[in-house]
Amino acid sequence: MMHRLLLVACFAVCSLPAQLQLFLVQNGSEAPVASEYGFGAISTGDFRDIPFRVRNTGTTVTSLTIFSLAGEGFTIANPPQVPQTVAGGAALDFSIHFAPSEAGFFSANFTADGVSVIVHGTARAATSISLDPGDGTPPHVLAPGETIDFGAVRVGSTATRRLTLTNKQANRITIRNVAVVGQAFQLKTAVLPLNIDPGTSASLEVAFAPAESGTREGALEIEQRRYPLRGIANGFTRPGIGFDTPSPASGQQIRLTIRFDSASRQTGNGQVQMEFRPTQPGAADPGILFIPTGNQVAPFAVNQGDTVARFGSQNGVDFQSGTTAGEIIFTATLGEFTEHATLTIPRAAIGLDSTRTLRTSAGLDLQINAFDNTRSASKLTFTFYGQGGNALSPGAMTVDGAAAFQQYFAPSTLGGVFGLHAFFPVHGNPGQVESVEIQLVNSMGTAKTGRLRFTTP
Amino acid sequence: MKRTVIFLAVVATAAAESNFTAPLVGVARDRQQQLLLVYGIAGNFVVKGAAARGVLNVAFSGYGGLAKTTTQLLLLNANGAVIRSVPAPPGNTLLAPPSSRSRGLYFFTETAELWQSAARADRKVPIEALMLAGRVIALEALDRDGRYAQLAVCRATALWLLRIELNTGQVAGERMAGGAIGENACQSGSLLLLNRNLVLATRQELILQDASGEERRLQYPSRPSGDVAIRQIGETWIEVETPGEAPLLVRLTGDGEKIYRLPAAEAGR
Repeated sequence: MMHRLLLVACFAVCSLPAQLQLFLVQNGSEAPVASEYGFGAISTGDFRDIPFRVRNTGTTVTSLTIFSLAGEGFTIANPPQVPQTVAGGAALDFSIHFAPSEAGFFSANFTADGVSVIVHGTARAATSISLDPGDGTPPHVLAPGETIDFGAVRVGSTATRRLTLTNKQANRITIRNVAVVGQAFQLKTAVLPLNIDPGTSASLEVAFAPAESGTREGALEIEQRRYPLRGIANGFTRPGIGFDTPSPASGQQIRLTIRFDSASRQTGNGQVQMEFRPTQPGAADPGILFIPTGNQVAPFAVNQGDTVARFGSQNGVDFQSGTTAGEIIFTATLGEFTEHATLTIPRAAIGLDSTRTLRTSAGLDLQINAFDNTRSASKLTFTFYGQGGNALSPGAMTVDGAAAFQQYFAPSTLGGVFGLHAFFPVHGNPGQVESVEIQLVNSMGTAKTGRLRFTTP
Repeated sequence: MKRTVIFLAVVATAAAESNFTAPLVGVARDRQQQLLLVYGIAGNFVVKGAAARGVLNVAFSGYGGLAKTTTQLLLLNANGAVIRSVPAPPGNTLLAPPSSRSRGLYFFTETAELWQSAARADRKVPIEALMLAGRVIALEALDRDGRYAQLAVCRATALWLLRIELNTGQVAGERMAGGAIGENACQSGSLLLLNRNLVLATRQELILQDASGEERRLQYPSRPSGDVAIRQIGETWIEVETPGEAPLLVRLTGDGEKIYRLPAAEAGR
């Protein structure tokens, strides 16, 4: 049953000291409310919340013993505790919630100590509107002015939102005006007028079909109700990560490219990030990095029409594969896309980089620069050859350097790189030693230098 | 013939901890004028910086090096550490690092002074500008005996190579360079003398000329957008600085040349 109330409570105002006063709170500022406040007209099923404030405008403490709202359609959203004292100049904030269940005129009497104000509003007969958000979550009733969000949509594709209009009133509701504002939005199904009998529903669909990238906004208007529409048009194309080597290995500088199956319809920036997962746990490698940035992140740019991402002035970005076996995982992010690619750096025998073999009057000086991406180096074998090419006594000399290698690698900040310096005193004429061959063993096999000729500085 | 004996007992120490080192590729300079220690192996460089800042030029051979700031000349040891500095006039300075047989050399182009570095006090080589009769654009200490230096001198548009006797400062010999380097080095590009080879970095390519005059060309991975600068940064390494990009590191070996890129030095590393 509908109540039409107009309550006059002036007697209460006259009998109490006017130390408390009601204010409307708008954008953080206060506007005094004298004897009544109108909530305006809303549709049934909708609601309107208005923030108010009761302030002690005096300089002395006063008591709050009454705080009530009498009347249908209105409630206090967050009432203060009663009784309580209110210091001079202090204030209590609350909201009045207007939510009429049926069409008509509504009023209520707000009363506090020394304050009495009539609040009133009108309800138009209207349907409730619920939105299927399209993300698998159940439909929910739209709040007044709630934004209908279409999320991120690729340029050229369409996202749709379905709205259900339900008549919970006793009489038929006829909807004559439904409109969509905004170039990227379309009303897909609406044969007007829509006649919705009591207890029944009708649905309509709004589509977001952006032709250009960027954030797009619009509005859906159903009779006097207006709901903002919002969608993000994403023109990026899914990035694909590629490498310029068919057989990745340690000690390489490799070019990474990011390509798109079709030309990008959007301009913007992305980044590719690398993460190293060593085969041997804890084997960090600071050499695994993007060369232009010197770290594990490389930004890139995409222009509309591009089929490949730009890293500065280049169509790709170079990185180092390091000197440790494991997996390098690359993650490219662009717009809503996140793509991964994994580059496996296989375990390998020791890689020889450079050698220096010097013959001095005191002996033979060897320097080997190499890397062991397994960090399992063990045996070293040296075989010296005379000028006639014959192996010199005592022949191949093998030492087990496993412990020494482990001792070196443990604190090393260079990944699997090592430099080995060895000096061999020679009893006799060092000039008789023509060359040396060195073998280095790790868990993946034996690396050989071949015969290295000694030079005299 | 005396029998040559290699002590097996000493071999065991080859794998001792003290015999492992962090391989130093060389000492480079980045666009921020930082002196960077480059460790690692070819293709896997680990950059540690900065050994010095405000560096205008550097030359390093693996045996030692030289670096020039606005006001000082820095002498580097084989580990790339600054061991001594001497006052230097402003302006361009040409550098030649020491080798296993020779001392480092530096030439102040503003004053046309040639100096030979030494452990304690450097020695000024008594050359006369008139003898040079041109503009010096590169130099190197000749390895064979350490008594001579080679200066690359532009006389008009022709490149001449002068052999200077370091004790007397006299020109012991001179010849005009041929080939594309001889034709172009005085017009544009950056010239390096390295182990009696000439290396010219132009905007288009690297041109390498060996002692016999034979030339070969090496293309850059991408075309530089401006002038390039070239310097020796390690025993077998040269750095080609190109505008707007990571510097190129070129390894010169008997087997040929290979180009890499030098990673940026990350802040704080």
